[in-house]
Amino acid sequence: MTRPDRTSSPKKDWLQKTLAGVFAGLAIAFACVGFFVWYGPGAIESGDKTQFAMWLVTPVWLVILAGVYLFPSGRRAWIVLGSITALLYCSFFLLRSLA
Amino acid sequence: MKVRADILRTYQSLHTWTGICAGLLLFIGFYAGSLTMFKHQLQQWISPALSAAGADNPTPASLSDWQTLLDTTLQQPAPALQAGFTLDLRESAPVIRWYSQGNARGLLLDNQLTEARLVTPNQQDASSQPNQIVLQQHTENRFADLLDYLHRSAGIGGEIGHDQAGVYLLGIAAVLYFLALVSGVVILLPTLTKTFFALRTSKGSSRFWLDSHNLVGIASLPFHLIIAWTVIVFAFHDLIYDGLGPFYGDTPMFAQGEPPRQSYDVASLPPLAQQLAAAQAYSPAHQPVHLSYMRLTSPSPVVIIQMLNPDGMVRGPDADYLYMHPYTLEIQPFTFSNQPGADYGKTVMGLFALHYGSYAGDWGRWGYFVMGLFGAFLFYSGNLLWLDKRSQKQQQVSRSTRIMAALTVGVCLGSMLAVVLTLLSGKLLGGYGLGGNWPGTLGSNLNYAYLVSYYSVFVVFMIWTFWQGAARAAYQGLLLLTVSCAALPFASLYLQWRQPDLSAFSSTVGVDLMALLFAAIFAFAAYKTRQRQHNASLHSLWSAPAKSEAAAAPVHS
Repeated sequence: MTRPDRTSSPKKDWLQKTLAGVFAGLAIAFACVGFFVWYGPGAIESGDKTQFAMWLVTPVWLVILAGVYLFPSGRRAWIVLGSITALLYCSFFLLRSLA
Repeated sequence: MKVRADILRTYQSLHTWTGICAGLLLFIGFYAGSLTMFKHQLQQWISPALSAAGADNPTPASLSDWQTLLDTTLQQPAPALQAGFTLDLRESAPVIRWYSQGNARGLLLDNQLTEARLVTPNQQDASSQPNQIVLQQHTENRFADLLDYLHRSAGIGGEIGHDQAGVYLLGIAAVLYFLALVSGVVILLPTLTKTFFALRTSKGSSRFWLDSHNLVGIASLPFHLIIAWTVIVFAFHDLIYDGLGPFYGDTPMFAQGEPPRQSYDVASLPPLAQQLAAAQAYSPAHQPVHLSYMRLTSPSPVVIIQMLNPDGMVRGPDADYLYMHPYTLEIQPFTFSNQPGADYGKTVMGLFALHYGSYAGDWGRWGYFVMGLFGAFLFYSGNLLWLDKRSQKQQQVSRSTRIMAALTVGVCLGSMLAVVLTLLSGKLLGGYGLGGNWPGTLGSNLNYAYLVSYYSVFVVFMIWTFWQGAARAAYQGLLLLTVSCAALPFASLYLQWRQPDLSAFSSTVGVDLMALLFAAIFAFAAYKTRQRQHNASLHSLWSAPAKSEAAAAPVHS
């Protein structure tokens, strides 16, 4: 997910990276779990799967949040995570509207 | 393993600041969580019960006695039916309980509990009506819940939505805690294999603190990852469900069966033995011990049966929960599952058990007790390391360092001291102790007295710490903890001497023994703190020479 930019020294950008991790990261986590809910094993109607899906959001989000500081800059973090978010949401709702 | 220097620096800062922000909240959450492993024993300790007439035979009452009591109670016009009621089959004399004020959930200190017991017919008047019940009302002792509240909210009051504000704060602290865990591992990676088991005592005390901080952190990492994850989910599950809503669209998140129409009559309630047999048949490995009936006359009656399984995993804090329709004996949703399949449900239940430490019987509870205390140690030592490093780097003790030192000592020691002193005073002054004639609510409802005691000790010690400085207060606080922990067993002995009828002494002797052990630990910590203060250079954070000594000491230039 990260490509360290070796040419320039990385920036701290604490606030921007954290915000990207918190918000874009959470959006990505929700979308991933959304895919799991519809296309993962098990029927969507089962309440057990819904509970499990709810539990799944947190670890996905936390891993993104913990890794976001590896981006060379806050700007890069927003661009990468933002485009992943957009990609996931577009494909999810496209798939659902086709179904 | 090699890690780039700039990444190391980044994660070093991340570790420091997440730890400093969340550490104190987490300290309270962890040590109080350790105590909740044995909250029932502690509640029994603080408010021992008078031994009942039949306490000489601690065998549980016979099922036919329970059935008689149940039948008689259900015939009464008492409001037990509407309120819902519970029976605990482990008790030696049958008793049915219900809330005549308040309810079982939440932190309600005014709850009034009504108990219905069978009138034991004496041999003389055995000819008179045999099946009579007697009702007793009393305020419920909620010390166990107060411990739970301290564990879940770190003692921070206020409510947001239907939960305490402190719960959400601890949820946020748990996010920081996860970041601190990951970054802590990252910064250890380069030296992990070399220094993992190193516990260097010869290179000064801060090296020793660092080594033990690292050792405890790495060794209990899986426990900490699970706790961080579950705490976040416990705090924010409603919000996460809301966030998942759009992905479900029109599909319901939880399938609902058709609403029932028929209501039921208590006269057709199957016998207790039949209900228990149905529960036993569902899981032969479990033992049903506690029944909680709800909405018995409504279209959707339910009995929640607590099932013990001392040799296996249980998914609640103490037991597994079986939801049954009391009339049709059908097993309802949300019941734990031992059947093949339903893997998602089992995984989720397992995660609960992983937080509660209830998957390995009493050994698991002791394990979690110890790991929780180690967790608290992790946060305390982390703060101390930061303070040391900061005052070394700055060549002097800055104001912010002093404030953080006072906060660390004040919050950590103050909170523990408050719990111990509440235990001590609650036992000595309440119930069968010296008290009983306190003014107003405090006397009639000990739950308020516990709260007042905890917060006043905590606040007083905080003020004392800021006034006296962290170094002095750390030593004094540890001494106070030693004395008050050591006093707990004497409080037990004293109460036993005053009230020889108290039955609970022998059953909670474990609390007294642990108190002695902790007194020894605190005494050792106090001794080491004193030693360090003597060795510390004059103007360091931990130097606290007595005033006369300071005046007499040669001034180093």
